[in-house]
Amino acid sequence: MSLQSYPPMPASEPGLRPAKESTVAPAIEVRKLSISFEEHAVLDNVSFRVREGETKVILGESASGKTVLIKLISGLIKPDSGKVFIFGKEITPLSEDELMSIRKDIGVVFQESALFDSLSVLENVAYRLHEEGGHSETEIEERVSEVLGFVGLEQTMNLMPSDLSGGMKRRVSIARALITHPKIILYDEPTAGLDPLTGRTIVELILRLRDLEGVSSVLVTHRLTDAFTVASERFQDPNGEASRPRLKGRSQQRAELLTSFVVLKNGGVFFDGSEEELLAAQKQQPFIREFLS
Amino acid sequence: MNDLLDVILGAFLNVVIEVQQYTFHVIRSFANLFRGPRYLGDTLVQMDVIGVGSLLIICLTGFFTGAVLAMQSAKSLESFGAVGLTGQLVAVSLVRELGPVLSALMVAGRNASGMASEIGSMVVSDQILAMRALGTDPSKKLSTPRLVATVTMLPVLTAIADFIGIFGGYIVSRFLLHISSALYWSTVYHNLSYNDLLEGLLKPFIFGAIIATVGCHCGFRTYGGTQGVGRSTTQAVVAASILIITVDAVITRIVLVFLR
Ligand SMILES: Nc1ncnc2c1ncn2[C@@H]1O[C@H](COP(=O)(O)OP(=O)(O)O)[C@@H](O)[C@H]1O
Ligand SMILES: [Mg+2]
Repeated sequence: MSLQSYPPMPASEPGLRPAKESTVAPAIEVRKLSISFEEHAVLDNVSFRVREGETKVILGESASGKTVLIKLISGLIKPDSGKVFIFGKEITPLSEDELMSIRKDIGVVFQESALFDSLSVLENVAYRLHEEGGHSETEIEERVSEVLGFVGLEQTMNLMPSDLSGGMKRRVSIARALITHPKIILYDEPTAGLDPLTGRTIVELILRLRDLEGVSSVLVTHRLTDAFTVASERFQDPNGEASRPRLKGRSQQRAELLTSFVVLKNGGVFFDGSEEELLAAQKQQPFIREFLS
Repeated sequence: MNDLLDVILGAFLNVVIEVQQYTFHVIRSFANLFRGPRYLGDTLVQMDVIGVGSLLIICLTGFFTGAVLAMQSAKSLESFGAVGLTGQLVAVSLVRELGPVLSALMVAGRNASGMASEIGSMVVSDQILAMRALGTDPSKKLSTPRLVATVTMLPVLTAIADFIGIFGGYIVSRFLLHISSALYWSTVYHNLSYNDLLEGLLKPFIFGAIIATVGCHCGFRTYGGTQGVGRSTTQAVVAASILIITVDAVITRIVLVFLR
C-alpha cells in the first residue's frame, strides 16, 4: 500500500487537524428528513450534520432505514419531506441532471459492492474517468493502478468481479468511488459479512481516507468493533509506509473530533454525539445498552 | 360485490399506470437521442449482440419458413393449375408478413429477454443505483443504445430472412415441385412491388423499437431479487411478442387501406 502518488493532502498538519467547526457549511446536513414506503414511516424527522473531515458513524438495527438514509444523502431517492444539504447546497429539489454534478463530489460504497459484473476490475474502477471523457488510456490505467494500489489490489486489474472474494469486491468498490477523489464518501455496511481480519483492512482504508485525505464520510455499520475502531484510532503517518500502517493506538480526544455517532431507532435519531457521550448514554439508556452489548 | 369492483378497478388502474410508465420510458429512450452523452461504444456492442448474434437463427427461420411456404402454396395452387405462381406467393408472403413478424418474434425471444434479464439483475444487485451514483443516466447508457441497435439491426435481419426464405422456397420449388429456376425467379421479381418492400421494411423498424423498449422497461421495473429477474424476463418476451403481433395487424390494415 503506497500512498506516494496519491493526491496531495490538505495543507493543514495531518496529525492535528480537527474537523472544521461550524464557521463553514457542514459537508453534509440532513434536516427533518422523512420518508415512508407504503404507509410505513422508515425515517421520521431525521436531522444531523457531518462536518468537513468528519466521519459520522450511523448505528441502527437492520431495517432501521440506514441504506435509505445513504440513498437520500446521495440524492438517489427523494424524501417525502425535509432537506439534504451537501456543502451548504440544497440537493433535494434538484433534477437528476443537476444532481449528476453534485455526485462528482460524493462516492458511494454500496452494501453489496454493486460492481458492474460485465466489466473488469480495471473498467469498474475507471468507470467515472471513462464517463468524464478526455482521459487517455495510459492516464486512466495509471490512475486506476494508483487507487487499486491504495486499496491493496493492484494485481487484480484484469480480473472480473466474479473472480473476487467478498472483501476484495468491497475494496474494489471503494477504489471505484475514490478514483475522482470525492470530498464525501458514504459507506453502507462496508464490513458486513466479512471475517474480522478482512473487515479490519477495510476499516483501515476508511481511517486512511479520513486522516490522510480529509474525506468527510458517513459510515453505516452494525459492527460495533468497527465503529469504535474508527472512533479511537487514527493514522498519523502521512506516508503510510510499507504494508502495515502505523496506527497510533488510543489518542481518543483527537480522534473524537473526527468521529461522531448517530443511533437510529424507530425511524428517528435516538442519539447524536461523540463516542464518550455514547458510552455515557449507555448507562442511562437501556436501548443503547442493549444495542451496544 | 363491492370487493369485486375494487379488484377490477385496482387491476385497471395498474394497467393504466403500467402503460403510462412504459410510454414515459419510450419517450425518454427516444429523447436521449437528442441529448448527450451518447454511448456509441455500447451501441456498437449491442448491434453486434443483436445483429450478428441473431444471424444464425434468423437464417434458419427464414429458410424453413420459405421452404414450408413453397410446399403449402404449391398444394393450394395445384387446384387452380397455377403451381407456376409459387414464387410469387412465397415472396409476397415473406416480404410483407412472415419475414418481419417471424424475425421480430425470434429477436424478441432472444434479445428482449436478454435485455430484461441483464438490466433486471443490475437493478436487484444495485448496479443501476451505483451507475446513477457514479454520474450516469442508466436510460442513456442502457436503454437508448439497445433501442438504436435493435431498430437498425432488425430491418437488416429481416431483409436477410426474406432473402434466405425466398431461396428456401426456390430449393423446394426447383427440386420437389420441379418448377424451372427462371420461372420461379421471374415470378418473384415481377410480383414484388415497392409497396411490398416498403411495408416489409417499415414493420421491422417498429418491431425493433417494441423489442428494445419492452425489454429494457421490463428490466428496469424488476423487483424482488433473482426471482424477480426471472419474472421480468418472461414478461418481456410475452409482452413484446403480443405487442408485435397486435401492432402487425394494425400496420397491415393501415397499409392495405392507404398504400394500395
Ligand atoms: N424501495 C423500497 N420500497 C419499499 N420499501 C423499502 C424500499 N427501500 C427500503 N424499504 C424499507 O425500508 C426499511 C429500511 O430499509 P433499509 O434502509 O434497507 O434498512 P437497513 O437499515 O437495514 O439498511 C425496510 O423495512 C425496507 O423494507
Ligand atoms: Mg442496509
